[in-house]
Amino acid sequence: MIRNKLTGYSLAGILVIIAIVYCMVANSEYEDSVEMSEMGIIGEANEKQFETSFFISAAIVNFVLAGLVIKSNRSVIPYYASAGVSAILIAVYVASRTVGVPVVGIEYYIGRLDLISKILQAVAIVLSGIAILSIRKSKTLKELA
Amino acid sequence: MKNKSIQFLMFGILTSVVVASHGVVSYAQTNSSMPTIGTNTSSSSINSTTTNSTAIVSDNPVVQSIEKAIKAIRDGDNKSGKKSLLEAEEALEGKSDLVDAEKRVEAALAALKDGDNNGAISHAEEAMKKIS
Repeated sequence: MIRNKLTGYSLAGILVIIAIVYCMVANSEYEDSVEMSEMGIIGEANEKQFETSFFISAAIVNFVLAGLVIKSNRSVIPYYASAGVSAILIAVYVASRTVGVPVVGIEYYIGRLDLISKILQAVAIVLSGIAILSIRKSKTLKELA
Repeated sequence: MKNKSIQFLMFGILTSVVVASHGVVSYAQTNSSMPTIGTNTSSSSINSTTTNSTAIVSDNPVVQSIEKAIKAIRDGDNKSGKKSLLEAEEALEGKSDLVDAEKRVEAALAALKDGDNNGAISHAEEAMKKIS
């Protein structure tokens, strides 16, 4: 039980950090968007606005997931959701640096915040897996008792 | 037992984040200079690319803007470098045959914003190659 709580709080903490990182990235993209608009580079400004919206959405989703993980009472759904969202965000990032993604295309630069968020997302997937296994195990033991 | 594994995991995460935040600059520098030089080390590649870029003489205003940006960044004037890169970006916008060059200029701008001057120079040089 204590182990489950510790895993849950660790995962929630990591999800909050990921959300904060996304807020920082969104802010940076927004600044770029304003600068591009002022210079009349409309196409690029629109692309930056799209990226800003995407990163804000990702931050909100991570904040919500952190709340759900803390509030979850032996439910595996928030953990599945956390792992799934993190995996999707990693996949989108890899695609954006390799084959390209709609609207944005291919990006060539790998930034510091990008790497930090990807490492944290990988950890979030691992912690979600540990939590899911642990909850399932305790449920099975309860059923047997 | 499991609590200990989680503690180790958390310690690992913190270490990875610290290492990533310090190491990414050198990674980007090495990675982006690799296609230019091949087997040379990153420090020698920077020197080689310096020679290459100064040797390029072009009438193309976009190439001139990028060259100006590279020179400014090398001189430590990142503000002028950014301005020249933005000019190049503006000129490249909407040109479907030069999308790759535009993306390289964007990468150079992103690297410059991250404080990765060598990465910015490498991407700018790649952009010039795509144009010429």
